[in-house]
Order: sequence, then C-alpha cells, then structure tokens
Amino acid sequence: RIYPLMRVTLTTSDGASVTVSRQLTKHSGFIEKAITDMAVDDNAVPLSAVAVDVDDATLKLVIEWLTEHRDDALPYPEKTDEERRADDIPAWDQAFVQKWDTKEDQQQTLYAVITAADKLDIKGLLDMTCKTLANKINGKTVEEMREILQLECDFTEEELAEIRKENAWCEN
Amino acid sequence: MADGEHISLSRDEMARPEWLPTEIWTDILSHLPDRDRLSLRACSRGMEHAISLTDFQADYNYCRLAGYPDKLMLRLSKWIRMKTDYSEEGLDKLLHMRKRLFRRVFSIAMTISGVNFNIVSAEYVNCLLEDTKFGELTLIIHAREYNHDILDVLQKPARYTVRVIFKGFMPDRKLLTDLHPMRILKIDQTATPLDHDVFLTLVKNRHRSFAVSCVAFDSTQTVLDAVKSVALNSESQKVSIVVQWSTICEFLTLIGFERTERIIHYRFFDRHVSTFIKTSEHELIFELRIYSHSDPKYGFELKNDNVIVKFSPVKLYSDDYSLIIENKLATLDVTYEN
Repeated sequence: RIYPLMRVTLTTSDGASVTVSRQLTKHSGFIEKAITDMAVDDNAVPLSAVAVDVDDATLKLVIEWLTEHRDDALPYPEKTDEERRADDIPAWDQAFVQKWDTKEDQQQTLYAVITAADKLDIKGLLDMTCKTLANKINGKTVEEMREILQLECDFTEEELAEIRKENAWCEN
Repeated sequence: MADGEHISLSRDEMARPEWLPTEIWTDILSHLPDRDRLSLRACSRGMEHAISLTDFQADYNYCRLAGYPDKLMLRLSKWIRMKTDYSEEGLDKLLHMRKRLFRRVFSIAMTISGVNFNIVSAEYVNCLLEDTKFGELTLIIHAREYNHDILDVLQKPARYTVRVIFKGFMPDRKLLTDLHPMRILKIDQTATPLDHDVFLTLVKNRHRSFAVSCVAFDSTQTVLDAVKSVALNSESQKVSIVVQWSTICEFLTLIGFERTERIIHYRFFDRHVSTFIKTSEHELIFELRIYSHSDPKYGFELKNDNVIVKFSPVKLYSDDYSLIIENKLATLDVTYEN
C-alpha cells in the first residue's frame, strides 16, 4: 500500500537532493525496489534517501512528468507486437517534449530523459520518449537523420559506399 | 552498448545516440519502417554498431528462407529481402548482412522451402538462423533438396515447434525415427510406401500430427496398434494415413464389425452413408484419421471425397455423418484400461 503523504528523498548523480511523494515514485520500478530492499517501516517519515544515477536537471523533468501522470494506472500495460504505433502520444506529453525544442541541447535532453526513464524503470515515460525519438526520424533520409541525431559521418568514402551498396542489396 | 555493460556516463556522453542502451534502440526501431533501420546504420560507425546489436521483429507474413535454382533468399519483412547466388562469396555476404542488421530475430513463424541442402549446408542454415526465435518453423523439402543433415536444423533444441513436409519422396528410415516430436510430420505425394514398423515407431514417437500417403501394412494389426497407441496418448495427437478400402474392411472386422450389413442394421443410415457402403464395393482409397483422447475429435474417422464416417467411443455425434458404434468400440475402451 502506498501512503499519498509519504515522501522519499532522492539523491542525484551530481549531489543534489529532491524529496518527492511516494505517489510519484510508485511509477518507478527502480525506486520502489530500492525502498523495498531497504526493508524500512513504511510508516517511517521521511524514508532513507535513495541514490539515483540521474542528474538534477534531468530528474526535475522526470518529476514534472511523474506529477502529471501520478494517477496513471499501474502496472503499465505491456505492449503487444501489434501495438507499435507512435502517433498516440498524449497532448500534454507532446507539449512537454516540445518545450525542449527551444533549448540548445534539446536532443541531449531527450537522450537524458530516455536514459533516466530506463534507469528508473518508468515504463510510461520511456515509451513516450522512445516514440518521440522514433517520430523525429521516421521516414527521414540518412542526411536528415544525421542532422536530427547530431551525428557526424565518420565513415570513409569507401566504407560509406559499401554501406549504401549493402543497404540497396537488402532491399533488392 | 552491449547487454550487461553498465557504464556511468556524463550528460555530454549520453548525448550520443549510439550510447542509448540496445533495448531502447530496439524499442525505437519497432516504431519505425524497416527502411529506417537501413538508413540509421548509414549514419555513422557508432550507429551501425548499435543497430547490429538490436532485436528485430520479423513480419511472419514474409518470413522465409527460400531456395531458387540460381539464388537463395532470406526475407524477413516487406522491405528486407536479401538475395544471393550460391557462390561462397555470396553466401558469406548474406550471413554478414544478417549479423549486421540485427542480433536476434523474432517471428511467429518462419518457412524454409526450396533450399537444396546438398548445396547449402545445414550448418550454414543454422548459422543464418542463429539467435532467432520463431513460434513455428516449417520446412518443406523435396527429394533433390534432401540431405540427412537437415536433422541438424530440425533438432535445434527448444528453438521452435517444427512442421516438416517431405514432398514426393520417402526420407531414410534413420532420419524419420531420429526425429524429435514434431508439430507436424507429413510425408506427402510419395509412391514409395513407408515400412509398417517405421510407421508404428513414428506413431509411438508422438508427433502431434503425422500424415503419410502410403504405408506397407503387413497386417491390419498394425492399424489397430496405431489406434491403440494414439488412444493411450494423453496429449493431443492426430495420425492420418491413406489406405485401401480392403484394408479398412479387414481392420473393421478385426475390431468386431461385421462388414457393411451390420453397420446398416445399427444406424438406419441416410444417403451419405449409403454412398459410403455402395462405393465400398470397389477398391477405393480412404484417409484414416486417428485422434487421441485429448482431441475433441477423439476416435477415428474415414474420409474420402464423398463422405466422412466418424467412430467415437465416447461422444454421440448428432450430425448426419456420424456413426456411433457403442458396443464395437468397447474394444478400444478396454485398451484405455490397460
């Protein structure tokens, strides 16, 4: 049982501390497991700090998302092979991600949130951010993908020609 | 990043997409058309490596390894269709690309057909299918494609359930008797009869569905032994054999029927069964299907183009084609008690 007023302190990889409600952290498989492993009395307030391998700036974004999604049903539904659509991102989530587009490091922010969602085992956030990245590169050319993903082409001319040849062969 | 590696990265380092965990790229790719997988691998060396570690959900509608006279094709989706000639260089290229496009492949089903195992070795096919997981593998093989080594492909432990169809020839006795229980084992369109002892061994090996077009019965006791073996199986099992009407008559006599007059006396048959009796005067071919206890069709049935006659020891079928022989199938009931 989760007590809505119960709070847990999270310590970030860059040394910051954030205290949040268990109502939010219940969506994180990692944090819930850490609390369980501590074998503390659920009535203890506050709970011992849980160390997360996520920086403070990214954790703030994660908490913002968790706050909006605090009432989402758990467990997060498993995806079936048929449910591979990426056009079903809720409006709030789309706006949440679009805010980053104004930042210089928008792509880094997206990678950081994806990685945080993976590390903290927040399935809903991971699903949404993976779909966001998929939507960004869907149907794009190689050059467009490089620009979106901010990748340098480090192939030699010969290697690139070979990759192109291989790709054409795979679709023959 | 390879599975199991846990490297703590700074935010700047994490900014490189190649460093996203493999399972995340697998998830992202699952939302993208297959062509985008190819485009991504052309972005950079890091991405090419990252893509090679991901999983791929193949489209079972297309999933096929197919042999043609001059080429071999591995098709895994609408777009990913790799074809090569049979040169060593071509086969190496196919294997190389299979490994560079994805690490593991998943599909509901996979079909191997037309592959000549005397040209493409079973070892090569196994390398191509390494790290693949199919719900069901179907192997269709003709005489000229056959090589005893196909057993190496069929016997990969617990990789998938297997359907194997030998078309137009009788495989060697050792291969047949060495086969692990298959989902389907079918020996089709062959004029060479299967030896009665091999037939009985295959029935007892409990392939879930076993069909053979021609068996050299030494006596109808073999048919009865097959019926008993299937009846004793608590798992679902179906055996289908093509037999002459004369064999059917002998078999029915063996289990206590007194030929057609007795059947008529029992059931007041409708015209369908009358047709059955009438055609029985000729040497006609029937398919004898035997179903195990756990199968809804429990019992056995005789089928040709005109009629199906069902023999069930437990269920009273209400359809017109049913024939319930309560007394006579007591022979089978006794078998269960053994």
